Amino acid sequence: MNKPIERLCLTCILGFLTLILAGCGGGIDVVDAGTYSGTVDKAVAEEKEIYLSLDNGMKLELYFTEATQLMKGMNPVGFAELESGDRVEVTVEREGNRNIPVMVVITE
Amino acid sequence: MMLAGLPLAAAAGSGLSSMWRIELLHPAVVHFPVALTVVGSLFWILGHYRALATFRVPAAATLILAAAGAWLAVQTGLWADAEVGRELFDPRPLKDHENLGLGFAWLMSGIAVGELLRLPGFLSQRIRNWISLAVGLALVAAVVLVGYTAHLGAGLVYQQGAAVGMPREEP
Repeated sequence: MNKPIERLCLTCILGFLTLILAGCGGGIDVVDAGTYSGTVDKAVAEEKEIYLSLDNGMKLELYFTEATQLMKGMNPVGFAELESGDRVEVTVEREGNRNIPVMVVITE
Repeated sequence: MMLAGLPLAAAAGSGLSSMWRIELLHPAVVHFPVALTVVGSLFWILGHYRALATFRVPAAATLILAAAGAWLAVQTGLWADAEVGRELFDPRPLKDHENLGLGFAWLMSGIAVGELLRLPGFLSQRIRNWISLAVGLALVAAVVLVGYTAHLGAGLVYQQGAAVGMPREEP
């Protein structure tokens, strides 16, 4: 019997379970129309899409539309300006059970 | 054009959407890992009966193919998401479907590695027995997980019309 190898196998199994849990991640939420503050978790330039953690603990996935305004302070900016960790204030509409960003302001 | 005569392609002026859309690769691929996981699990159980030990190698091969198919389903699913994600009435089941699908792919990868390590010659019988126990438990989780993930995926199509092209009159 080889105890170290046994422990290694168990460690690998636990490692895989951890990866699976990490892979499963969390879901997303839907909020009523309004303005919310939060932090950008991820910005996907190809799809003009952002993932947000709101200050109230909810998670949003927002797809920019042609009409979405992105501002930094008072100035309009391009999507490339958005980065993970940015503090933002988002104004969203609600259509069905999805949120559509009307205005996103980068505050920090 | 020759393709227009095939049943897969929308004939010009038919009002039907094309079947050659990138979002349709996912449903074309995703049923393979589902079926391979279920069949592989059945083979795996049968292979534990001494009289049916010949099922062990087919079980391992089927489960390894299921793992490869799961990753292919994840990739085609990401392509589909890019096309239909922003149009859904409720995107929450899509996100759950994606997250659980990714978890399933990782789980199947672990099972595939476990099956390879279980082959005679690498490790002692005692350790292979431990791995066998872990693979068995993981297979139960995988079958449940793939069932629920498939249920969510079906809901996206049948409740929200994801990737469904409705026929329309052409001028």
